[in-house]
Amino acid sequence: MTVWKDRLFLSVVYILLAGLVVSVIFPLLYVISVSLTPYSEVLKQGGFLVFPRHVTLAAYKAFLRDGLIPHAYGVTVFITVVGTFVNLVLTSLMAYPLTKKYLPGRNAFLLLIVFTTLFGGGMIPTYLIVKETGLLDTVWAMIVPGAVGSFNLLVMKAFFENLPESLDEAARIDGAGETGILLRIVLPLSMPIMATIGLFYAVGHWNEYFAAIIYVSDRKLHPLQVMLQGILRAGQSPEMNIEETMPTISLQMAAVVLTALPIVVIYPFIQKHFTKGVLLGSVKG
Amino acid sequence: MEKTIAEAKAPNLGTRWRRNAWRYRALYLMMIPGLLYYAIYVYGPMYGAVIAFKDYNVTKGIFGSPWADPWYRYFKMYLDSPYAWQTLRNTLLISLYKLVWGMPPGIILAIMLNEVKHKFFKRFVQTVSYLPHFLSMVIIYGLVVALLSQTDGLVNQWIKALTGESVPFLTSTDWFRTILVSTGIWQNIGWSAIIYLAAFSSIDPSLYEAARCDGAGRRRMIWHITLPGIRSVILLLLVLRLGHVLDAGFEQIYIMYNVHVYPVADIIDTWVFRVGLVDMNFSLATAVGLFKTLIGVVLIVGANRLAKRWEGSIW
Amino acid sequence: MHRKWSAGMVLFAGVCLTLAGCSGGSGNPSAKPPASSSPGQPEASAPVRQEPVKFTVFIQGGGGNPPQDKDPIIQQLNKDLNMAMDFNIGVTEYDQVLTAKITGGTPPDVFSVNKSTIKQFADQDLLLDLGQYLDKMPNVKQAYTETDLNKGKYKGKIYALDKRPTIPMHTYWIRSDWLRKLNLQMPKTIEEFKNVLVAFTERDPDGNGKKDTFGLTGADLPAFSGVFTAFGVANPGNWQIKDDQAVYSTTEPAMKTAIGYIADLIRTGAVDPEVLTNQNPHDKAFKGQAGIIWTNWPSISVDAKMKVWKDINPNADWVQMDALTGPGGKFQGIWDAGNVQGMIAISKSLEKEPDKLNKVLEYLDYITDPGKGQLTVNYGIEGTHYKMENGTIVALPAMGDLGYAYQEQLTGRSEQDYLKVKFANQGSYIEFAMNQPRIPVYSSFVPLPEGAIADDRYEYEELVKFMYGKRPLTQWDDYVKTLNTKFNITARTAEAESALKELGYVK
Repeated sequence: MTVWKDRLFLSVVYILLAGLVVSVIFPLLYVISVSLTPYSEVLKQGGFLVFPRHVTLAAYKAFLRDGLIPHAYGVTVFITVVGTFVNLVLTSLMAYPLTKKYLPGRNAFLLLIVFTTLFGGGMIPTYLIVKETGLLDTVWAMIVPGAVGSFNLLVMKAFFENLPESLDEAARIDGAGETGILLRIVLPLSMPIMATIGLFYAVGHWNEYFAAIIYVSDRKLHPLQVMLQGILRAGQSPEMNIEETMPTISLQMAAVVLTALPIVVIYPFIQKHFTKGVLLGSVKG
Repeated sequence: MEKTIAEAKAPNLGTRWRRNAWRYRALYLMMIPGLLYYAIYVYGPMYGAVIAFKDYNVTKGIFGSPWADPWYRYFKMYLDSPYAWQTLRNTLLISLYKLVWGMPPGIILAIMLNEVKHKFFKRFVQTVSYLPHFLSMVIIYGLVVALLSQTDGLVNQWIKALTGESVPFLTSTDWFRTILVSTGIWQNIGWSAIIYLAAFSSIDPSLYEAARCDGAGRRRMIWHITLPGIRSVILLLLVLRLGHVLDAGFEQIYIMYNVHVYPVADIIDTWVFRVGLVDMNFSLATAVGLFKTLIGVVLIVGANRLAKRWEGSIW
Repeated sequence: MHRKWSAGMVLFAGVCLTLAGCSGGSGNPSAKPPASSSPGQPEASAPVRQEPVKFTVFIQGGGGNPPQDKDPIIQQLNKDLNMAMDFNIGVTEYDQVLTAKITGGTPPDVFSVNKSTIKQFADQDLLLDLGQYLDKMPNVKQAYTETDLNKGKYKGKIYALDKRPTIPMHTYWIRSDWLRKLNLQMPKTIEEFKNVLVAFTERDPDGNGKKDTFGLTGADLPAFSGVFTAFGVANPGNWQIKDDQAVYSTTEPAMKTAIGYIADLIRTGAVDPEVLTNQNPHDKAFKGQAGIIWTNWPSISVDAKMKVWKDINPNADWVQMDALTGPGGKFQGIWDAGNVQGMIAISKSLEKEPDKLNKVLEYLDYITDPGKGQLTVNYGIEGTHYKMENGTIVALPAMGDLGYAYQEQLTGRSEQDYLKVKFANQGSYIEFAMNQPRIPVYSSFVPLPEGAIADDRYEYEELVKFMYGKRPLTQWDDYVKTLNTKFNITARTAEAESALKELGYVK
């Protein structure tokens, strides 16, 4: 009885998931097809292009011809790797103590952190602080001012709290200190959440745009997204000029593919870690 | 060291606190870099909020700018605007729709993925569903237009072939919020599922085995093991989200709205943008930000108190 | 043991932060001016080779320029004038970045401003009054007309230089092959215009057997520009001068008639239903979905664009339409006397650095004709990007790489000479659009609205309701009354009047 019901249930699950895949794949095929099709051909075929008929790499070539783009990739990779590392170290160092309900001042800290998810000082005073701390026009301006994300911190703390207290106590009896517990017990058991929060941070850095625009004026330090936004929004500037050709839809789509591709490719590798938590069961058992 | 022992003998509140603090110094030490960060880069700039009560002047700076007259000038500016009530209402409605319709799909997707045993299929679906998160709003709007445009959108071509009429999806007040919310779901479903998928990994697998021995079907296990297992994460996200009840998603609406749908689409932030655009009104933007924060704090504190009952509170 | 661990980690994290601090300090030399750049004596242009003068320029633009060390134009200017200019273009979030730089105490020496930022920055004493320095820029003084200088004026002082004028470029464009197919004449009056639009919609001009075409497309209200002006009124939201008095176009009686006509037109179904929300109306036109579009000549007639629509349909034939005649006369759209392509201002802080200031003035003068620099910013390097033949400039193929150059023409250019070189094939279209009769407006000279009324939603949204028949035209007078009182149009008209009087447009 249950077996039959389970089968039916699973079939529904598979159908729904397949539906979701289709609903995502079709629009994405459109993005890719348009990026590969000459502009006049896009217009000629009209409406919704799913498969390119005349393939051209012109849009990609136009995009990569600019010597700044490969460089921008380098900047983006740097702030993503280093930034995520800094984020994870600082966040876990802060999240772990906050799981200790007995820690004096814990609630005050938590309230202050929650408040920052609601309110920030605004662009101008933040700019002044970044300037005073000497970060202006350095890559660090894109890393340090976002060193801890309050949302990520709270999520990580919630996951740490889910770990059984008994582990903690056992380790303490074995003579481990707080740092030892964090490093040798909590972190190894928290790979899924470290991977998840790491991904959240990494994607945030990959999409870094505003900090770069505001704090960094040296174009050699501009990450990919600044270039992309420049392409997507050119032509919206009030100083539209007759020589300024609006980027064609093909060029826009090519820019999207080039900026999104690397971070998308990373995801399957991170997914592996989601299942690592099974470890927990074995430790406990 | 001796002193602490001495104090321990005559405990009062202050000394006990101090003694505890000393005892947990390793924990505090760990937090120092993070706390420094918060003090300098997050709380440091918050003094800037005073410009909500000032006529901000770039040359004179935040402290030198004159006080607004009356001090609530910029709050009044919003409240007196002809669309204050409508934009507040739209903001709340859109935000709530996004919450009610936006949160469950991620949870459901995560649960469905959790049921799938084919590893490859699971990873494939997961990766594909997460892709739209990386499309910027401008591109997504381009896709929406390509699909739904009244004159040459794919969907409207079908509708026209079937009924002879076309539907003004993007320019009709009946459709706008639906499109807004469903675009949001499409963009974020895979991304929001990630956190729940991570949460499943902390559910003790022996619970499932036990349930299976009791002859429980998959649906019962979802209901009694999987969902309770991620309850605290759901509550956490819900509480945090409630604090942002007056953030209906500026960028999306700003890119997608148009004159035909103002009555259902204009929100507080789009209004601030239009008014502030003319004279870069930092004071107005800050005042409105403060107002939104105030509401957010009230809601988040209330929600946290409620969440405590289900052991899901943040503090 | 464990204490050592935690100390180590804290130290590590701390290093991250300090490291950031250190490299920040050393990586930031560009913002500071050279400490010892030849003090005093700006007048004595000593024969001794001096250090190049450094200054910063931050301009709003569309980008597409190479890094400055690879930009031939910037390099040439630096060499000619013995300067080391740091020239940057902000494509996105320009105003915010500029505000941040100014707030942080490092304003650029030369930067883009617009009407609203001039007002703000001038009120806050950030801008140099250029009036007193005009004598140091003889080319500018000569090339700029009174009207040109008026554009950068605020409260009677010249705070900004505009890019000298462009010329009117917008007209209606029509598919003449569709006219021929349906045996129709080129529309000359607004009634004929309506008939053609309806025919383009109803009579299958593309001959595919489907009713899949529209008459008119365009982007937002300007799509109806030629209609408004045929009724003798400027597009909504503009200031005109009538009987020597400032009037606001939206509240003019003729607007009611024009809107009535447009409402009728929309009711026939001959207007693209997405006309107000189109992002790429040209795509629709090129695809053959619409037969008339309001646009400028570069969008249709430059070689690259022409290739696109000829590729799609070799039979397509887009031509410019002559101005329509209506109850208000024969006009094709508006022309704003104060229209600017962009303006630049100089930071007031330069007052204290005469060397730098003199160099900036010299630079601005140099790139204004007849300065030699004007040729450089317009056409690039002689021999590489252009050559001189019998006193005229001839483009070389390499000039195609300088599509970004317009952003470096800070003081504008002599438009017609320029276009002749750069758009040699488009001469007739340029000429046609330039010579169309236009209704003059003066909106750019009128102060901007302040506070909550800066939001034009009511005016726009209700107007659209009248156009789409969602609000009966009988309520038009209520609409005007609300605008006049609640949205301060009456008060703003008085303001406009005095502003235009001050500039001499109203006697």
